[in-house]
Amino acid sequence: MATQIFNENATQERAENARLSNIIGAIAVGDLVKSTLGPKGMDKILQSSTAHGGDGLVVTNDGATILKSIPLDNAAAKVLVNISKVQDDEVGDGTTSVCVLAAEILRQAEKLLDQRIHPQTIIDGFRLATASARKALEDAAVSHKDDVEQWREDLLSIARTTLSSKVLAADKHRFAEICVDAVLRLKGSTNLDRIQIIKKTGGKVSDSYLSDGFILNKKIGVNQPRLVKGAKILVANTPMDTDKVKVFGAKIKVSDTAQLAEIERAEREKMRAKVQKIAALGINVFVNRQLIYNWPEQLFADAGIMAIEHADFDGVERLALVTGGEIASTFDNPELIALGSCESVEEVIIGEDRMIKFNGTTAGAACTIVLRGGTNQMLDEAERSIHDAIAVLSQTIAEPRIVYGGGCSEMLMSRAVDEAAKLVAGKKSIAMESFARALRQMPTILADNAGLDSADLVARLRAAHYEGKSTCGLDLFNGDIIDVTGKVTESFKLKLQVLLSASEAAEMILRVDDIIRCAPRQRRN
Amino acid sequence: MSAAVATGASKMTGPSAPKKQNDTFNQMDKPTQVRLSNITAAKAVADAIRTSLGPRGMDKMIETGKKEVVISNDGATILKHMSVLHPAARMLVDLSAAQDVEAGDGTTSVVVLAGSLLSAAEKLLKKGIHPTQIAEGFQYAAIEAVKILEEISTPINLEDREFLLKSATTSLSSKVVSQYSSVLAPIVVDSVLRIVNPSVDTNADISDIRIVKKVGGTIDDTELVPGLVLNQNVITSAGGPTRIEKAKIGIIQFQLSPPKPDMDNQIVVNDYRQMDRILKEERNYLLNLVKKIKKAGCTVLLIQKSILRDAVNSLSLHFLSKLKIMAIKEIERDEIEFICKATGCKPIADIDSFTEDKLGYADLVEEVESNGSRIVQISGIKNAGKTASIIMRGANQYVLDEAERSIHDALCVIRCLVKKRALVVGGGAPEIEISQRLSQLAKTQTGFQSICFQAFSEAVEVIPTTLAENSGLSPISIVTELRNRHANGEKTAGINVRKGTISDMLKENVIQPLLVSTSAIELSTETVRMLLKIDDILASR
Repeated sequence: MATQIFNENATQERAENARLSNIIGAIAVGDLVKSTLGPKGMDKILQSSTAHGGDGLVVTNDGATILKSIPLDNAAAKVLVNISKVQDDEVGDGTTSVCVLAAEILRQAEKLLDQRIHPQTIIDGFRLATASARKALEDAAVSHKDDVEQWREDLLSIARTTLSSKVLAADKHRFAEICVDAVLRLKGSTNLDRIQIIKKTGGKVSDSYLSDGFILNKKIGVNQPRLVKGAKILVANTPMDTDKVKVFGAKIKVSDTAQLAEIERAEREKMRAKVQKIAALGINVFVNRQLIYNWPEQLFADAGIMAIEHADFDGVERLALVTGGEIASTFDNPELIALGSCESVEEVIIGEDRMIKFNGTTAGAACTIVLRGGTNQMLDEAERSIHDAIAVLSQTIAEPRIVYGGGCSEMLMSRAVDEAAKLVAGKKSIAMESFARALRQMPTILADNAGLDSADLVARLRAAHYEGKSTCGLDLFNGDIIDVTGKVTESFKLKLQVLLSASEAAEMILRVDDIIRCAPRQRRN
Repeated sequence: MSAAVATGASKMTGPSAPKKQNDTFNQMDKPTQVRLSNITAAKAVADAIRTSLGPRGMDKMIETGKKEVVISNDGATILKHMSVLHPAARMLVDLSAAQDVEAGDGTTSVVVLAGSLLSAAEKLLKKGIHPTQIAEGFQYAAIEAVKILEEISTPINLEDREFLLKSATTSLSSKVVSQYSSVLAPIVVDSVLRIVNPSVDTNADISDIRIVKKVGGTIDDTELVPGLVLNQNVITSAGGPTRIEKAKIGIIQFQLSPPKPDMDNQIVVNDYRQMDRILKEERNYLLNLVKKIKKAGCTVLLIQKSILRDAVNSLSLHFLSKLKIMAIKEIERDEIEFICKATGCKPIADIDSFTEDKLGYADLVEEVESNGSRIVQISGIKNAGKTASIIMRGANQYVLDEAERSIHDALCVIRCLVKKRALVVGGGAPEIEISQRLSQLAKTQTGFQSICFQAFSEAVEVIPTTLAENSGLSPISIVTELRNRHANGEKTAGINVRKGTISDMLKENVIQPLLVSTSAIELSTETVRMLLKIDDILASR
């Protein structure tokens, strides 16, 4: 009789069962996002089951966003979601590819398991395969960083490749320019906080533009200058009403109204003193995270200072970053306060709203991408696409090597793995061949999504690669094999990360031979 | 074996969704189903408001969740109040809102057009064309359509008031207030012209035009007021003046009531004499404030609303009326900027800074009563900013609300002309022209693009068809005759809804801004493309 070790309700799945359940879970996730891959990939609607307002609706093509949002109940599936998140953080794009590749590797592994090959042998084979694929990818990678024009062309091409699978595909040339310009302003930094994205409904997507400087979605106080040149900016997070005694129940006791009036006057004097302290710093623009009340607002107006109240946290922090200032909250030690500066601050109208624009910021790197579009969903998706593109571009600037897309790199790696497999004795070589097959699935899916005859195209592509035309890839618009040099470019780091993450995840899932699921904590009622 | 991967995901695909969980991912016909379900839902929305298009369009009555009744002919308003659940349908609601922001008018047309484009896409999908190819084809077709529109448009000069009047009239003619368009159109045009400088500005901020609604009278009594109109009434409880000539206006952001510091406070009264003293001091305190105001020469006082303290109390009102100062309270904080701009005064937040240079000057501030409601008019303002005020009147709240929306649309039409100074004719003429030219272009192309162009060109005919249907005409005979006329080179021939015939729209003065038409085509195509690219609806957390 089996001894019960686990808690009641806890379940255990063993060996074959556990492995199968994991593999099926992972493949299901891969299939779910598979159709979003490539320039002809489709979008998904994510509808929140709780919120029925406008916020509950997301239309997206971004693998990470899709996987993040759907509730999953399978350990292996969660691993895939996780690697797609990591890919998002590390490189910013390729979130779908990594999931799909991992799922395809597992699909091949399932067949090997059916042939009674031990998981560890499969893993060994996969490792050898990954190593030779990596080597092939590294050999194929090129860098044009020294040639300025070619380098820019490469960046544009990378941006176009990323954007072509997104909602912005129709205007990809324009947005590629926008993204590359924005990223080049960062001068090698990967801190994307300096690129701000403002979304405004109305207009069409192609009305979007890159604006140098920083835009804050706020209003300038009444009667204050609408344009300040040579701005000295103080960014603050301070209450501008009276500094209250924060002890609960603090109370004033007076014996007549005159005293009350005096106290009121004293409060006002404190406000005035604070404003004077701030004005004494020699600033002409004051941005506060908190509210500025009527009285200080008037004092600022009298002092000719542009005062902006109630800026959001995000805005304040970015503003401090781009103007080179620091967020201040006390003003007793003027020498400790770092002021920001920029060439001019002015009021602009975007869509129907007035906003404040900071031109010529000190950090120089700041810029704002103003996105316009018909619907909120469109704008949100456009923002995600732009984010992906600038993330990839900034990574590419740090690691300038590039490889070619359109299934070219995958086919290249697949060929290398196949050839390496021939030199390996034992069952491992079967696993390596499977790995090569999994890699070839990527161009197959690309072609399938475009509604093309994938079997024919991929076979032709493979033939081309074996003939030595190692820069051949798929042209999904005309359904043909072309030389993709300069047409479909991808970041080396992205491709490498996809390969490594996917094989690592597949390996991890294969290693599992037991799933123990704890009983959920009982909730009362 | 547990592979419950996407819990609940399969519920979203409608009644025919497979129940076995793993099947969800393997079925190839599922994307098609999702697409068709999206198209059906979006078309349902378009059909719902189709009947309100055009001058003979009908209104909808909507009862909102709060049991309020809204009667409207404005597409954006109807959709906003319809509680639409289906995600694809919600996108059309957003589309209409976007058109409202961008052009302000044509909110119905944009949705009807999107619905028609979707029907066209549905047919193409059934032919087996890949959705992304349809999306692409439509995109190119839209670009061509906009080019055609720009070609047939007539540039205008903002000084030409006639043209502006005609386009405002066209916009108003499809609304509840159509019979008053001769009254409202000049008001709309003049108010926009007042806030822009025709030679310099490329955008107009409509928030600089203030609309004050008063129930009573008829829409005929609506007028554009020189100067400023306030919704708030003069406080007359202490017998203060209601008419001041050569007024000096001050806006204060402090209150004329006993002092109240931010901290909790308590006045401790020990004996009877102290009570007297407190009362006296309060009186002195207020008297002092009012005297200072008087000293600065202020005769009209606008007081900002405060949630912490009373704006005025009976004592301060008494003093004010004694010193012949007119007092108006409950000015909202967000009104301050507008009033300042209109009157040229600066807000005053503290009594010590109450000086004469912060006051504005007006020849006359008067509370007038007409048709049973009172309003404050400020006229003859010196240094007035570029603002305009419209007083609207109507028999009941519904009429007023709808009239305001109509005026807003008409204002937007004029603003569009400020942004993009060109006109096209109305009455379905530009749509027929687009349709014909696109269909010619389709013949010069090959492959899927040619089919998409042809489908697009047929889809835009929905506008003249619907116009004819809504006017009780026979859509087939009207649209075919229109085609014939356009083919013979009559580019401005459109549907004359009043007479039920085809005539030259330029002569009938049915014109609309180019921006309304281009934006409708661009925005609807964008939304349709987005809908076509969707192949799955997933439940998220």
